[in-house]
Amino acid sequence: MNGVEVAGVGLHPFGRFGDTPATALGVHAADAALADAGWSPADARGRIGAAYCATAYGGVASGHRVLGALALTGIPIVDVEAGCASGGAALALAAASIRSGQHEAVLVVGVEKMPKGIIRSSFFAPWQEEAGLNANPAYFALRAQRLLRDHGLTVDDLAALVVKNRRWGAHNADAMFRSEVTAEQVLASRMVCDPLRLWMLCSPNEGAAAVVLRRGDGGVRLAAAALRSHLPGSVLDESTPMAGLADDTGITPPTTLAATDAYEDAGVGPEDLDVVECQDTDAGRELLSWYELGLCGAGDQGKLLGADEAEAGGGGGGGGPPGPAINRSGGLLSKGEPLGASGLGQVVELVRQLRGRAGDRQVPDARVGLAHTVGRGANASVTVVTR
Amino acid sequence: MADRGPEPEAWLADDAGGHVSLPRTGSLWAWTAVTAAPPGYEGPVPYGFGVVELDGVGLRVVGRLTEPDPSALREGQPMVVTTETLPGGLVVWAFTPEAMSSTPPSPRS
Repeated sequence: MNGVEVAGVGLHPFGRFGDTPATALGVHAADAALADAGWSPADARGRIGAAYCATAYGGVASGHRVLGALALTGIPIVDVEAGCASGGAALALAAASIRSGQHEAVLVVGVEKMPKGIIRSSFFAPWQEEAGLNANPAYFALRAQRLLRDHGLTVDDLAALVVKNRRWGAHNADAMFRSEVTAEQVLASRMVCDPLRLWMLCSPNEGAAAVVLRRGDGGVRLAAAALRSHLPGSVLDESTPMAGLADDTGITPPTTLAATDAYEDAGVGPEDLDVVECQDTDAGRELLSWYELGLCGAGDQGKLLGADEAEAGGGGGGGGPPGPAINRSGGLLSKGEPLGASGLGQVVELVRQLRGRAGDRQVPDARVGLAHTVGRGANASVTVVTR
Repeated sequence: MADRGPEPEAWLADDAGGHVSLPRTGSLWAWTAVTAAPPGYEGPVPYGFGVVELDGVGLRVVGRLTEPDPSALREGQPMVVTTETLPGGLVVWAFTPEAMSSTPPSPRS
């Protein structure tokens, strides 16, 4: 009926590309996604009913510039900004426009070109910048420190998480960092904000990703695309409040809110997932995401890390790990994070996995995938794809 | 979609719209140090940064810490509010270990 299927996906590798404008990155990804759907830009005209462009730093009319270069204007083109969840938000709007019957097919593209280093964001007031209260890694560090204490984890677990993602990222031609690293190297990298060292933090960078959605129930289906914002009260929330309640145990984090919606919409639970791409802006964030998505209990992250290592160690095969394969793309720690493109890049990876075309990173017989982002706003997105 | 969190009344000012005086003391709940200047910041680095749970009011507050060495701090350490003046003249709240403000610091372990 009004199901939504993924007609095509496309990606421009994530990295740093000198003077190449963001528009060119977006055109590359959108063109690839249309081709993957079997359409030339000329074919797409008359089929694509609307376009959503996810970007946080692209500036005015980013989507129009991409669609203009493809001669696909005339349709509604809307830029979507929701921090790290921009891609997930654009996908949610696109899916809703198909489910409502408004459009037969929609193009979703994410583009970003960001400078190196700590992100400058208009989210913070000038006085907060002047006071040094705008250091994202510092907020990540406070969250990581509490996670280690509350879940009984250690700095070695943070290092092991980086080793895991870099190990898979080495097999991803679209990633910025394609070399494996050791825990010793991670723990020897420069301290940014204790306990987080440089290699435990993802790098803001450049890239683009695109997804073509259309009405249908074939191939890879978009089973859920949920977006939620934070509830007030938790001092460590991604909304980075200046204060919170001492008792915040009853305040559900935005990731869990979005995941609960997505599981309900898709009719699946965490136990049904084969492959997951989740937010790893820092190593602690991924370990916390596992818990918030319901992939493991508090303090059980070490078991999943061990299972992934065993899987990668070649033993693999026999039955696979106890949970889903997580961040087989190498995650943001390997790919870098072009804000507007990162969430759609996760979906591109999931679709490749569900189609059985993920090469060295392939999860055998992957049928259910979940993509997750959380960040500025706070916004959290959870997308579920199935086949 | 049932989970909407605390009722809004908990977050809005009372009818009088008045100010609430917060205690000057609390205990350290989370902390780190910022080792590279974030965009727009021209003060000294490294600088301490953390969360203090204020005494008796059930609130946690984010702020600068006067101690830039994370290994010199511990969970639950008594802290007191002070202020810091930054190069542009901005005065901000900050937290300092209580012992350091009145008595010599204990040896670092």
